[in-house]
Amino acid sequence: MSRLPIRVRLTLAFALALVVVLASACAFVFVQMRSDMNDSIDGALQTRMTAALSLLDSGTALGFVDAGLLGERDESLAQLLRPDGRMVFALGAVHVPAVSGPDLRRATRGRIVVERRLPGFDDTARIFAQPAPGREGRLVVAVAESLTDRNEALSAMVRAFVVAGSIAVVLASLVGYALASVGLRPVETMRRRAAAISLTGEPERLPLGPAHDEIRRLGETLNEMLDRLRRSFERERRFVADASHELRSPIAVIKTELEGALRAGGFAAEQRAALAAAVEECDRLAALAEDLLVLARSADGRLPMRPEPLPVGELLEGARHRFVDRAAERGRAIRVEAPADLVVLADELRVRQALANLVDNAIRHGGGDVDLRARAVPDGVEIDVSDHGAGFGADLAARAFERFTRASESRSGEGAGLGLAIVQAIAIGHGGSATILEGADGTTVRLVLPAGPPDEPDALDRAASGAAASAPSQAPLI
Amino acid sequence: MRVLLVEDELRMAAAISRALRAEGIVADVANTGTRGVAMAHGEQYDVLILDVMLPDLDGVEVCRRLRRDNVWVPIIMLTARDAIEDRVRGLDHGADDYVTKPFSLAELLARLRALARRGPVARPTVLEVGSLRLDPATRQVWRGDVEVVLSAREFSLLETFMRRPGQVLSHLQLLDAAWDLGYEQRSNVVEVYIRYLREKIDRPFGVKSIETVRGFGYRLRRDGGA
Repeated sequence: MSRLPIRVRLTLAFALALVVVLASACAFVFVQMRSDMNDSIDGALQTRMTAALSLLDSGTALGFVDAGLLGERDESLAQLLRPDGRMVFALGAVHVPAVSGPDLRRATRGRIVVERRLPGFDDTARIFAQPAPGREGRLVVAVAESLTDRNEALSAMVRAFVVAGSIAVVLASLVGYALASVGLRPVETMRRRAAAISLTGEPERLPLGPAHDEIRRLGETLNEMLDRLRRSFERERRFVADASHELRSPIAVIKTELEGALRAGGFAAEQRAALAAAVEECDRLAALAEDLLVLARSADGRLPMRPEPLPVGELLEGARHRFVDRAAERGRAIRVEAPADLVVLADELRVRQALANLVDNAIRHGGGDVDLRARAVPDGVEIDVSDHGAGFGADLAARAFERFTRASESRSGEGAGLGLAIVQAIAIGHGGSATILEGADGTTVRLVLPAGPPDEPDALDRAASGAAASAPSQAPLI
Repeated sequence: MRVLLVEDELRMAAAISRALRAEGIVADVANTGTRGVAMAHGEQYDVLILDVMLPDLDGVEVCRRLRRDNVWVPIIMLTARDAIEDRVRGLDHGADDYVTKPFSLAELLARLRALARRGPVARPTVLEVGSLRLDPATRQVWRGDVEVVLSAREFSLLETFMRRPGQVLSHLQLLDAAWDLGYEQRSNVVEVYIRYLREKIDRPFGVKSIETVRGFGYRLRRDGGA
């Protein structure tokens, strides 16, 4: 039940309530009507009994005949019975005693009213039986009337109720369903918008229905919640951005001071080593602050971008050149494969950083040679950075793009685990994407970036050389 | 060597000037852009170290004002790593070099020495020959007050002339300066472009600034034709 949509549940509950109400109304009318009809039948029987008794009193028992003792219908009777069940006299279509057994014995003592089936009657009969006055214990007078009319009227009424009631229930349910659907439609609209809403970028809100109802209030409350969430996200991002921004200056000062001290000299070898290590840590700290700033700004969509057409081949060669020595130290090679005329529209600094992070990762965590391949695809340029190591493993691949994700939980390795998060931020910042492809023989990180404009030679220049070629006889001006 | 350091952050200024003094370099510190401009006007410095992020005038504006006032002290900018925009604008407005924060002291010192060697020669950001003006940064050209729109090739040809006013430039020199290596030396593409250029910068103004030196090449007159 609880799995059904609310509007169906509402409609079912509504229909059920309607059935209960209609059934109760029907039962009430039924009881009331039957009691009214019984009263009128009883009146007729009483009249007949009175007439029978008065005839009996006046000794004209045998003159029962015709004395209006029978009703207008065939199915009525008047009988004079002995306590042993023998009929002294009977009028009407029935030739068995109207009462017998215990009923008859009770009737010898006083008036009884029973309803029972009698042979010759289509339906049950209502029977009055009482001792004949002055002959108590010896004679019982019984009059009866068929209940066919009453029962037919009652069942007709029940049928009418069932038919009309069903139609009413169905119609009312349809209307109820429609109303519930209309009433709940804003909820569905809100749900759809909420599914698509993003907490970054332009502040979006849930659509509110025109009616000032509970659903609108829910929507308003949810919108307020969205605003609060957005503000707290915003605060977090601003905090990271501000913090990393503010860290830059002191880091730069520390580095300058340390280097100044180192250059001034006068230290023992151990102190020099300590200062040199501190300078290196300063560089790492500075790089970390820069990375955090990039991430915080990209989450805000405020990553400064200067896209320009860049030849992919040169970018890949640049990345190879930067890491080729480090790779060679480990006996590994870096290969580049890129069509000569492939151009991306990208921010050079960012793309170089993304490629550097990927190659660095491949050398540090991957195995075998590193391949940098680029090719044109319909939605831009695909750059694959592949290695032939053990790969991420499904668990790590799933969260590789999250911040501070490291291959192992130990902090012994270098790097803060921001590398791939930055790659993704940069790709998305360019309107592209970054994905991890796990193959049988290693791992590929695929970067998709927008393609640059085709490298067109100066149009005017072509026209000019055309003019030069077509006018060889022109007199030289020199 | 005498250096002016324009840096608003006191600790950074102290760190750099201490390091400079340790190297035997005299370092004066200005904490605002305005003060930096005033000090650069008043004293003879070998190099100016200029932080781009300053509270009053930013570093780019400091460069622009000094160059406008014909102060040609070599300028090295200190910028954030991702502030490419600042660097580009600074260089276009007369700065000579930059290092990004955090920098290596050794590198800063090497660049300082290299800049000091050049000396305060005039390095205007906008070239002027007579009534012709050319801004390489914005790629705009004016004859008097009228802006002239040139194609990329015409622009580099004119820039070549304006960097050597009065000098006769041979056909080959012009080809080297404004075309890449793919061009056939015998083609008359240079003549074609000289004609385009004259149509744009001379003829409409009734002047003659690009002269043909028969048998050798072309020359831009020192007075720019007018």
